[in-house]
Amino acid sequence: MKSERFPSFFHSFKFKLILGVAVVHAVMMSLFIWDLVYRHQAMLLERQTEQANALTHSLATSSCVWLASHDIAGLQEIIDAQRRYPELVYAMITNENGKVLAHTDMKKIGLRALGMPDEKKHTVLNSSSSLVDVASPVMLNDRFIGWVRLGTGQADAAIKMRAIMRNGILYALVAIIVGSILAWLLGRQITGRIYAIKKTIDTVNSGEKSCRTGLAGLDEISVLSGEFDRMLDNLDRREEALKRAEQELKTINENLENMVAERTRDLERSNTELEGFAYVISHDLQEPLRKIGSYLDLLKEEYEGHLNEEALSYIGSAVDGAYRMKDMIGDLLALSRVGTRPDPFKEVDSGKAVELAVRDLEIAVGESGAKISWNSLPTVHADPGQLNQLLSNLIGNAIKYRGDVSPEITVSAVRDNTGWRFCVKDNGIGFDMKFADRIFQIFQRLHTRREYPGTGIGLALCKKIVERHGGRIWVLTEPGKGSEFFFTLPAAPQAPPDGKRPIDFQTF
Amino acid sequence: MKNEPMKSIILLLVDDDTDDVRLTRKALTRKNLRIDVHDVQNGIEALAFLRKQGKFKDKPTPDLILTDLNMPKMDGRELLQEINMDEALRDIPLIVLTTSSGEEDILHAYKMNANCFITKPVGWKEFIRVVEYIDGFWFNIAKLPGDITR
Repeated sequence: MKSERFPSFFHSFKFKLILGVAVVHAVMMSLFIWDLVYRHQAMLLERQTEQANALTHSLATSSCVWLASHDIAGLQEIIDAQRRYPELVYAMITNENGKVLAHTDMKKIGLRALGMPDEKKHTVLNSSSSLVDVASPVMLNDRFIGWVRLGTGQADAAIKMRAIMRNGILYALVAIIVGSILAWLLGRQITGRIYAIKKTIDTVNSGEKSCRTGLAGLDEISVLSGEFDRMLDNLDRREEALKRAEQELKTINENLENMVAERTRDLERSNTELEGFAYVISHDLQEPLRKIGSYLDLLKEEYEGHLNEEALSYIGSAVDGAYRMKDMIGDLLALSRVGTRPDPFKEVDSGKAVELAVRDLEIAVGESGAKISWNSLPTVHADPGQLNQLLSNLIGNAIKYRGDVSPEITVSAVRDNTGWRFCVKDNGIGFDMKFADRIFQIFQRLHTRREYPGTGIGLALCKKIVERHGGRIWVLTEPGKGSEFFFTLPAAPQAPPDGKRPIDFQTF
Repeated sequence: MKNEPMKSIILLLVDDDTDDVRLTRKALTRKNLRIDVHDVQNGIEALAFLRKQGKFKDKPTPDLILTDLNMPKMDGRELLQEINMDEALRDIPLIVLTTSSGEEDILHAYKMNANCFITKPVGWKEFIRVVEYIDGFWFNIAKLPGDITR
């Protein structure tokens, strides 16, 4: 586990520190040694050349008399005397033509010296660490009479150089080792503290929330660990606050759920009451009404011969009233059922719904010669029965309130932000826009029953249906110019996905 | 059936509303004079009639029962249940004739083996038409168990 969580040695900061220090030391020490050796060599060469120059001058001076007198033995003696210089490689004296008269290597006497300088003056022929070769003319009263030439080597210097180099490498190694050890110690101090922080993180992560680094000191890592501890404290506090808030939220939620449940119960109770009310209307109110109608009919049937015209007309009015009241009660029931007897919403092809509505209105369509057209209509999220009723009512109205020309009715739909906006457009009689709100209220009519029969509930029903679907219904019209009834419905893939139907906030 | 001698059809009308009883009786006997209509006020009386108990001990077994649902003491729903549980009575054809058009009432009636559920129409003419349908179907077209036992 540790190997996974901590970097391996070769990836560690410690290793990089040690490697860096070692490389820097090695490079710096190498440069230093190279510089030292180079300078030392240059200095030695300079000194050797100076020595060779001095020696040649001295030889030229001392050999002048002997050369002038051609005392070969004396010259050889002078040359032999130079052997005591340990660095001396060779020494020779030649005549003015370069013939060797005396030489440290006796075998070379009599030979001709090669590579003598062209000009008759002191010349350094070669200057390297292995050989410094110098020639100097021998002058007698400004007359050139021969050459002194000698070479010195550095057999001793090379050994010294090697010693310097060896020592240098040794120092470099020591420096690298000491540097690395110091780097390792420093690295251990830094990474050790970092690991301490890491260990704290692991401990906190494993659940021991109160664990802290607690590192003392004034350096950057101590400051960092102090900040880290503060951060952990803050996190602890925040977590606690969060827990408290969560608890509070839970309590609020529970309360809310209780309230919703209570509300739902209230609504259910009110819905049940409404259904009871609808039943009262359907049964208890219709009962006496039925009786009125029936007995009036019976009266008329059985006593028609015994009553005069006026009495029969009274009976006719009473019967008419009873039937109209029956229609109104029926419509009221239908209106109340929008809320109390709903079917769940589902995907409905509104084109099919129009087709169905037109089929329901078959007789009216046939009588009026109405042309009803619609293009492709969308699928909407609706109660199928109610959608059918809505369209039936609107198309039925469009046929009913027709003018002198045969009705032309268009059903269309356009998409808006929230769903679909439908339009049922006709070429009928239209009406003044000041009644645009009133026509959607229950039992409100713009015409007498003689002109257009009806209870005045159709559009109120439409409004209720549209509102139950979360939509809006309105009209644009002008007398004699036809009407456009608009309503909105939600688009298909919407509303409660779990299939629960929305609660109906129904008021009767 | 044509060759058989004319015999009256016995019908039991269960309804607490005497006005309605009178209307129904009128509608039924308007054309068909063979129908012998008996009426009782509620479920308890109807059961007593059917079981020939007490003051009904000399009454005949009806060929058809026409019952309302909303009545005091024992309503039509309970009556249906009682008849359905009684082996001797359950084969008598039964029609529910009521003002109710409630879904629950309709479903309950058929569950209790009612033969037919009819909502009373509002108008007299409509009512006459419905009664004539009942008369035409049950007393002329359908064969009743009473035809066999007698």
